[in-house]
Amino acid sequence: MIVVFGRYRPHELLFLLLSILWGASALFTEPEPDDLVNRLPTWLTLSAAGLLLISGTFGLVGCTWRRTVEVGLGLELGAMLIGVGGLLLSGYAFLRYGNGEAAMSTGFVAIWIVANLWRALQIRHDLGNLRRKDG
Amino acid sequence: MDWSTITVAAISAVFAGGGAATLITVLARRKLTSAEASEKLTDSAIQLLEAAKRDARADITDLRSELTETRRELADARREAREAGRQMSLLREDATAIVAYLERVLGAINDPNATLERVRIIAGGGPPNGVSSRLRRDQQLG
Repeated sequence: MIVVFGRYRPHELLFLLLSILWGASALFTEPEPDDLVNRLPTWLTLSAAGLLLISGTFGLVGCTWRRTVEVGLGLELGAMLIGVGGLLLSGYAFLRYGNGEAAMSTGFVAIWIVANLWRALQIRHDLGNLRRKDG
Repeated sequence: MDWSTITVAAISAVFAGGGAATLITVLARRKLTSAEASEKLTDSAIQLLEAAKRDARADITDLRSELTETRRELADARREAREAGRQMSLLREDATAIVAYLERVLGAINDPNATLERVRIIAGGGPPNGVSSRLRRDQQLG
């Protein structure tokens, strides 16, 4: 049996990088006057952006962690779940405050949430296998 | 804040909280793993040291028994060397006595006034100081 598997998952890494950029820009840059962010409650903006920033940062660290497999996977799992939290808030913000203009963005965020949950389940399964193997 | 916002915020908080708990667990576990690894390393080092001590003790016991054996063999060799020296000394004495005896007998034979009777007397008397008991015994047997 030949298993073809790269060291890194490019889509995941780039989406985690996007999380960092998204969160950082929402937190640290001034929004345009007609930007959706202006219509959001402050707590929602801060929560969603903060969670996305944390998720992206820990996710990238976990994905590139090479010393211990369990630690790398654990960091990635935590990042995926935090990312779901941040994306839920962001998706809700698009739906609620987007005035019907952000259907595409909402769909994109929804698929991203599903991908994060899928990856979280994979990691949970892998960690279980590793723990069983280690006894 | 309406109910939908509260619901989404709550679900989001559950996921974010779960993720944060996972991160904290992993980081805490990492410290624990380091400590366990250090402990395991120390245990391994102690085990190795104990094994080395056991080996060293076994080696020392072997060396001691070999030393005892060597000392015993050395004592045997010294005793045998002393015995050989003593026998050499006896043989040297015997040889000297035999040479003197033969010279006396030859002198008696070569004497211009030699008579068979004188030769017999000199030859029958043996060496003046006596050949060793072994030589005499050989003469008696021969």
